[in-house]
Amino acid sequence: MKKYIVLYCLILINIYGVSQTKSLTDPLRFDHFYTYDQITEALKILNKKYPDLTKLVEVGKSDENRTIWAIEINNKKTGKAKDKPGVYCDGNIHGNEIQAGEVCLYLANYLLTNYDSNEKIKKIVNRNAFYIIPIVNVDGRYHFFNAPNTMHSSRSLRIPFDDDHDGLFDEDMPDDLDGDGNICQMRKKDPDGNFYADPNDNRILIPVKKGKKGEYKMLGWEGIDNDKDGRINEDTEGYLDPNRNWGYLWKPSYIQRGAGRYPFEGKGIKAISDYLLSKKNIIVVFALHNSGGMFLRGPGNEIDKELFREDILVYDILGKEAQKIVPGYRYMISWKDLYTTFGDFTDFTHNILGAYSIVTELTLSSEMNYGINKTSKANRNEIEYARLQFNDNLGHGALYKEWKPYNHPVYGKVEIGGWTKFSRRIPPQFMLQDVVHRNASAIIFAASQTPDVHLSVSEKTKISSNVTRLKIKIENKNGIPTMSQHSIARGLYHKDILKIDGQKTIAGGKVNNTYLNTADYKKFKPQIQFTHLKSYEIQEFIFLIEGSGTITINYNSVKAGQKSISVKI
Amino acid sequence: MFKKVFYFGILFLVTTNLTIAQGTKNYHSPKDILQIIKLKQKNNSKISKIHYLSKSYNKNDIYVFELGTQINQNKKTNPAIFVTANLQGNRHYTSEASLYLIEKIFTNKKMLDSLTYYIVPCANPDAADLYFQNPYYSSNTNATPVNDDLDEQTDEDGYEDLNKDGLITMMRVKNPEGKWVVSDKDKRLMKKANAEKGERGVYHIYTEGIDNDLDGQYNEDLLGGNTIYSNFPHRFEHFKRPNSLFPLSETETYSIVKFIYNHSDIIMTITFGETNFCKQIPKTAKKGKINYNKIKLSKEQAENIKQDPNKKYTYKELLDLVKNYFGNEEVHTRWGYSFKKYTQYLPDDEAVEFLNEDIDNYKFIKSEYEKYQKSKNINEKRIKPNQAKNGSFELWSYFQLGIHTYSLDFWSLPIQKNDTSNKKVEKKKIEEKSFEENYLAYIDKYKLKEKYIEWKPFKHNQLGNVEIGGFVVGYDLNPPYQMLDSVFEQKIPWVFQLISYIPTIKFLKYETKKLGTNIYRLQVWVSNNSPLPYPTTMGILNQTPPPIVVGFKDDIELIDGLKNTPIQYINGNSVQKINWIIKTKSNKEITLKLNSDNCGNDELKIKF
Repeated sequence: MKKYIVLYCLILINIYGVSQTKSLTDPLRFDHFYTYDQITEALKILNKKYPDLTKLVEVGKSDENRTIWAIEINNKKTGKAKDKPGVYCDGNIHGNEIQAGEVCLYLANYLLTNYDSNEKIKKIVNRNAFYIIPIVNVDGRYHFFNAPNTMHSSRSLRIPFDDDHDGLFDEDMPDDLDGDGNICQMRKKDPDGNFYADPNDNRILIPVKKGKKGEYKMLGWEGIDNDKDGRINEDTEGYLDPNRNWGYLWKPSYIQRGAGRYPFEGKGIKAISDYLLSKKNIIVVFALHNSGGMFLRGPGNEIDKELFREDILVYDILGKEAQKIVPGYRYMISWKDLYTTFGDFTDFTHNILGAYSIVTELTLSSEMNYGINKTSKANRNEIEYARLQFNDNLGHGALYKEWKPYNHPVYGKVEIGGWTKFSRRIPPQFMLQDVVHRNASAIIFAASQTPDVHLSVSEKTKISSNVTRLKIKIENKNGIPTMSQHSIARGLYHKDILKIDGQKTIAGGKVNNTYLNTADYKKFKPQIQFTHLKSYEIQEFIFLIEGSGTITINYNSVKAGQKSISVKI
Repeated sequence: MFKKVFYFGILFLVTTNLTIAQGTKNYHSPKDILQIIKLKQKNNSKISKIHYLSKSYNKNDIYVFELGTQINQNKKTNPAIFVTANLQGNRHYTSEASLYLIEKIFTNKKMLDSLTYYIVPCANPDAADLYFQNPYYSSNTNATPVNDDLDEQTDEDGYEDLNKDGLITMMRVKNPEGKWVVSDKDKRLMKKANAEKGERGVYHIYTEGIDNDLDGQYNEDLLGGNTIYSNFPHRFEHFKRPNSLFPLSETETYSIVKFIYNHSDIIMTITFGETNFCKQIPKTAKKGKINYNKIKLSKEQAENIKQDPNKKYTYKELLDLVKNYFGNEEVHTRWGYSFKKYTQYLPDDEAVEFLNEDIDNYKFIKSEYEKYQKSKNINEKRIKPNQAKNGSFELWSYFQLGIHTYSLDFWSLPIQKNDTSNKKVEKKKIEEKSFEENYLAYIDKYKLKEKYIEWKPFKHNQLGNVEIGGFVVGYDLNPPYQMLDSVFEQKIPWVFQLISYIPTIKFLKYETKKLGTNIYRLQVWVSNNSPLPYPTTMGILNQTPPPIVVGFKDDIELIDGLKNTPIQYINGNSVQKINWIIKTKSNKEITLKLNSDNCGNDELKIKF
């Protein structure tokens, strides 16, 4: 059997022409990071293997014309995707935050590979439609792997920007002087320097106190003066932050760094926005980033101050559980517990799509040091020392470049060294399996809570020769409401519709006392009632129906899907 | 003459529906306008080009008509003017103004040697189309489907022309719960009954039509749509109908904004619409708590740059102070290192007020405009132009493009003479209060019978006995077509005068001074010969306008100064001086070049 799978993969690889990159094995592996091409290949493998459950969608192209892929997971036998609650998740919107892509891929892989064997997963997949975009910033991920970088660079969209206002664009980026694939730091021995080496560990530089002599000068990221203007690395990539370029409370870049010149300037951002706006059933959104170990809910900015009380309750259900699923991560309010940002993706999806939207900041820095946890009051040098020991004894030296001499055209004899691009924000490979499984599980938990509406007839009484009183019970058996309070208050879209078909409805309304049979009768069109169901809420509607025969009761919700039952009167 | 015959021809060809309502007579529909533009382009193919940007929901083309001698040049050296008309969708005379402007440009083609025009004759064709349909009414929203009443259907309850007069007007029906009565001022007007004055309501008022979806409401979910004029991303107002949900949601606005950012040769935008930045110094309607004209520093900030914490500064004053303190070179690099050095002194939200230094430019233009009007004997008493709205093109252009932003409204309702004899203080009140009265007076004066319909009984299927009449829904805010030529003849030449004030940057002179063997100081003066600065002060703040860069064409050894020196700002009728210390042999000749995308290019030969 295994042989066939390998053969099958080889055929696939030939079909899709990705032979330059290392071919993937099936099952997919989560003990190392996949490149952009490999993730594309992985999605194609999943799609080919699970044709009845998946659809591979080309959402659009990036600014450098790479394809942005979505994998949609839906069991057609249990209904169309648009008629089920939609769970959306994406990652790697910042090009350097690569493990976010792995979490998304893992989620898709886990749902599909466990569908047959795990009843709980099967139920979640059957009841929901999943929309997963593992890599939003495809150019950023591509360059992060294929070009020298720091752990922070290749973050933005590839839209050149003239940082130094000299008429040239992105012409003075950092340079990989020693050719090791990383942009590290430069330092120079200098008797007038303002740093000295820590006697404990000479890789750590400590600022000198006033009046004391130092031995080093820090010279910033590795680089030369490419445009010969007397400044080094002053016009680097971008900067357009794809997570500040969305159209809810967007503010220009003199207020919000990285906003872009206008909302949806990024070609891929525009494409994803169009894609999302066409999937009106999306009710849960997870956006994966690194780092910090957080589950963030909105508002993202101080202007909005706070969400509706009803919506906070829902976020609490998801966030508090997620905290337990991923130990150490904290559930927080974006602007209040971090800082205000404008034009965020999740502010857009909460406010414009009306979806419960959470940012996951993957990876705790305390996981990647040598024994200092996040609550300790260790100072910077102590933390740096603990990180270096982690590098020495768990990373075995792979995360940190030892300082080595280099002859710089401007600075003369310098040393190049420091943390590599795969350090600090990205977990070492041995930890990856834990990161992807726990964080995908937080999303699976949210999917298990999407609204699940049940209809039943609670009473059927003839009140005159030709008129039947029908009471319909509608119940949401899950924690997420059928509509957010924000969607209702702002009129984002119409409310859920409870509709009687088949016979003439002469009166109808929402029951306010089921024992007294009193209701708020709707004046016009009683056969159509508008409502929504909160967490675990039960409601009753009363209808007076003329005639006899079969009638159908339909519940039609933009986000909670469609349900219907029939009854004979 | 040619023009009239030509227009007539187009109309004859295109307008086959002869039952078209009176009010639209001679105005050009969006499709007519595109036909006209296509023909003009064909006849002037070497100096004009149509850029098709996108299609609206109703498949109308969104396009820019480019006029200039550099249409096929990738990198243009001429500055460009961007003109957009009829963003409202119901101000058809502004589209006509753009056609008139195009005609004038083609009759004096010489001006295209040094200037490019990008013109959008109709930015909201979906809305504009409604005016040319039978029946017609006036609307400012495009055709994007919107479920206005949030029920189970979308766009299901529109108007009906029940009395078949080709117009959508009003219906009134007697009802004990009615809130409206006939006005005592003019029996053609309706007003709300005032219970305090002992009045009792008689009528319900509806727009003409039936309750298509049987929900008890009339015409509450029309075809479309979202506004275009307020869909731009400066202080866009979310969740306020008929705004869409977010800025640039509409293909009309998104494609226009994208076009503008892809054309850095644009130095000025002129909007033909509801505002007039030449006549009325622009201001923002709502004051925010952030004011860039009165920035106050915290004690600590003031100490940092050795300034008075009790003083208030304009943005420009503060920038100059910070620059003096940290040095120019430090401040003008943006995000790299030191942009924060001065942004930390700025308010933490976007600018809301027009900046004082830019207001000075508007004052200058206003005084020129007044002189111009005097010279043309324009003395009009008309309703004031509107203030620019949040999310409007005009505000977006000023606050985010940072280039010169002007607008013209050309025409508005004349004010009834009798009423304005009152005290000046009350003048504003009158304008606001008596819009309908003014409207009636204007209708009477020009005998515009199709703009007010006498109430006539009608048997309504759902409401019983009603009367149909009153004003056209949305009001027809367009003057009689026949009036336009005289208006434009008077007012369009001002556009050319306005354009003549755009900044043009040139080298003025240079000096060299020998400091030692082969070491020279070089000083170069760059001058702006126009009364308007480059860029606006807002443009310095938002850093969007492309830089003016002075650079050496040749390889040269610099001891002090940059090979490419950005000039951040030159005031109107002013100079900027640039200094270098250079190592070079005597008698050597070098060339300096001045490059900018939108305000001039120049070269200067220097001999040491």
